[in-house]
Amino acid sequence: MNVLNKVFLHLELSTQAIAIGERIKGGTFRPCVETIPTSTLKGCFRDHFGLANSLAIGFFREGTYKKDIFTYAPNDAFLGTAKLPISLEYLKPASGAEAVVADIYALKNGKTKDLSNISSIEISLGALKSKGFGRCKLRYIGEVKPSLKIGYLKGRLLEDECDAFGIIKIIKPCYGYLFYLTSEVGGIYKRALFEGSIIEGPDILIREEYKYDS
Amino acid sequence: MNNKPFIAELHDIGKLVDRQALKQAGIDIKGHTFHKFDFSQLGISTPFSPSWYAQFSDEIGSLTSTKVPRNYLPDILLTRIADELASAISRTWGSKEFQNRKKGGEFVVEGIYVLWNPNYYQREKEKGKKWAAFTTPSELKDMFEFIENCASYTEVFEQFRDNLKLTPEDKSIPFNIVSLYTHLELTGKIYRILKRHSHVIEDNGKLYLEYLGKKIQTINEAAGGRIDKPTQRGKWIYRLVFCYINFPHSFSRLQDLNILRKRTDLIEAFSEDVKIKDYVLFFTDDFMCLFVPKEDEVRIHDLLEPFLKAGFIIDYKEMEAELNLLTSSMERAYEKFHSLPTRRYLKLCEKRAAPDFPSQVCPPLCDSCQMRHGKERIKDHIREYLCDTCYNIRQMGEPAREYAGWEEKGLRAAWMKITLDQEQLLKTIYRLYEKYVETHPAMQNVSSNDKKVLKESFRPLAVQIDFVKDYKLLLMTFKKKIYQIKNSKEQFIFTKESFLYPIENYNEFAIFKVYSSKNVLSVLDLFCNLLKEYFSQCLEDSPIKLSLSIAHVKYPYQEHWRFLSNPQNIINIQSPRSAKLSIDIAQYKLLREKIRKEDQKLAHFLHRLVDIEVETKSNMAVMFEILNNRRKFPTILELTQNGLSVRQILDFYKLTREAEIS
Repeated sequence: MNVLNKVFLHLELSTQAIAIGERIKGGTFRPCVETIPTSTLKGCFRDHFGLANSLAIGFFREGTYKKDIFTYAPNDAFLGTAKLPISLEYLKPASGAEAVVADIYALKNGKTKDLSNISSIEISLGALKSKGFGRCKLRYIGEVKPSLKIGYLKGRLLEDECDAFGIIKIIKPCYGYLFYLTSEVGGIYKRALFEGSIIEGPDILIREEYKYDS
Repeated sequence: MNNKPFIAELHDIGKLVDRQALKQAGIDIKGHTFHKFDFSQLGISTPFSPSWYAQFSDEIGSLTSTKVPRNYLPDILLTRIADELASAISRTWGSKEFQNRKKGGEFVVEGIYVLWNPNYYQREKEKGKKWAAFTTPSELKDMFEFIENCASYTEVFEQFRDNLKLTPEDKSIPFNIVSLYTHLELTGKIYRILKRHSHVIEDNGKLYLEYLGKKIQTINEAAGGRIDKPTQRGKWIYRLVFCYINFPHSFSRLQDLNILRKRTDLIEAFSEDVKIKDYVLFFTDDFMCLFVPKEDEVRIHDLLEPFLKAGFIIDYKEMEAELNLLTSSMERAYEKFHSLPTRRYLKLCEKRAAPDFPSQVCPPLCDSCQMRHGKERIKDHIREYLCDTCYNIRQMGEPAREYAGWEEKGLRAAWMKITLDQEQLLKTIYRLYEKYVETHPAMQNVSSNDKKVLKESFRPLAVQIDFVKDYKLLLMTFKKKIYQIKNSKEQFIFTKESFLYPIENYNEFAIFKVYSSKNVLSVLDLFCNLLKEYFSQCLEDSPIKLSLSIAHVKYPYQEHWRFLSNPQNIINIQSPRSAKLSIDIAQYKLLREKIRKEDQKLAHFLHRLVDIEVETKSNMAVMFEILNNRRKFPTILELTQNGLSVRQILDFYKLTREAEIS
């Protein structure tokens, strides 16, 4: 088995309700994704741990969550009135599950090594924090040295983060875009690999093995 | 040299001849080809058009043959290769004993056997249709005249449509499962592609066909041997490509549904384009199966450019292999190939063809596709950011305009989609074929080894094409019959205003008003009845699936579509935040029969069972409660014993008990 020369810190995140939004697709409905993109964790780790450019990716554990819809009417601060109600999709614990659980893998380097000291810490992640969404517990599980595998990607990461994550080949890219901060107040959308892409890379990123030719 | 065209489809026209009837009329015919026919019996001379020589296709295996004029040899050889590729079961498989028995006519039966609808031939016959087009000496003369004068392959299909549909490509069990119509369509397409991408060369007085620098003289040289012949490598490599035509757009406005029209229009135009249509072996509204040469000869991106230009993303599965190894059951062949020690060539890949997406996009992103920069567009005081592609799609028209006007208080709408699952289709076809080989009375005296070989040599492509044709027929019949359903007062339940097909010619998708559960049940009943009529043998594992998403009119379109796009079972229904149900036909029939909406006590009991399930997380506890109440609610016990969960029963109850609105 091919072992990659990369070490990841495995963290476990648990929450009662979380909404990591797809980008707003017009209208009044905001769907949520079932993975935690690198861009979301980058912002979170910067805010909570002061890590400027951490590389981490997350996946909600199957069977721990189900989707529901929360409808609210945002306030128009200027007019002092309510805007059109918005339906927000979010994840909540599945029947029989105590919490929505996600596995987070952060690339171990000089900056992130302190994450291994977390026994349990509260962080917030995703949308509508003011309504109580995204309050999460994060705890450190251990180090992971992934093997190399060919298969279907189960998360979202920027294309230019592939090398750092140990992805050595992109066989079939499924592109989308993730927001990338370029300053305190602005940013751009960068091309990213989305779920379903076929890659050769660390097994922790792989949902299912790809059995055919590349 | 005769200037008439060579029509490969005519090589099998003799299969429409009723030899028995002609024998009684004193005409002696051997086999289905006429190259050895004694024309003096009819008092006419031998035809001499190029198409006539297609009759020799079974005789010509090499460009060195002297049986026909040299200039016709390449066309005949290519026809022979195409014919073999188009057949569902290779004729060269099986023991000598089996082949001899087959040649002796032991397995010959009348008419086509449709695997999913075995009564098809009998029903058509009862309607007065017949397989044979030529039953008298005079009609036989007409056939030779047709061979002599036919100017285009379309004439073959136009003139003999009904006969071709009822005649199997091979009349012996279990080979009689593909219509001659489809076999000839497929043979013709493959022949024309092979011809387009090869050329005739002469070297030292010898004739060759060359494709991508590979010269061949014989069928085996071009196509290679069977999969279990490790050294019989074929020189000509082609590709079979399954294209799933997807789009990244989300539906936030009704005009976004235009993307469906765009896709349907593009597929139709693509499959009718004179330069392209032969590459398309078959298609549905979101899928195409292509037969194309290697990438050096035809670039997939170039071929699919019209789709990419319109913003579609095409996920495709590509099998690239020696001609004789190409099959639509790609995964099976791949596994088999890699289980054998072989130096032959077969590759299987998953790929994606997509428009060129930039590495960076300045905000804002397009609200709809999220793949390009969105420009500000303001309509009716609503500001949106859309890229040019998505904006152009919005401008294509206003589908389902009536839907926007559905404002009756309390009205709910159902979004309906019928889907053909291509992967399940292959599994179902294999199951049906294997069952046919195993259980048909005529096969009882065939050795288990020959049966095994018959199963292994099955190539389902042509059968898939026949299935897809019946699927399209089901969709059209559904569209017609939905407006004929009457209630107990003999009034039509649906009208063109209450049951909309928002996209013209896209019959998989509809939206209808739900005044009561009767509307929903009528749609489900019609679907089940048609499935039974057209696909009676695959009710358990039907690749045709129906999804209904029922909600108030303003419910997010995108959420409807997400549910419709991912059917889990044959019947799928959701009423968001209330119930979600995926069941098969048998389960539906059972629920339909046993669950009555008036039964309030049953509802309370079902809710109690669900509570027990949630609290105890134990099926045992639920079953215990059901058994305790078996006298009061015998239905629940019966339903659970038939594999339905308590939650499914409750969801069905909820979905069908909705109060009627006036």
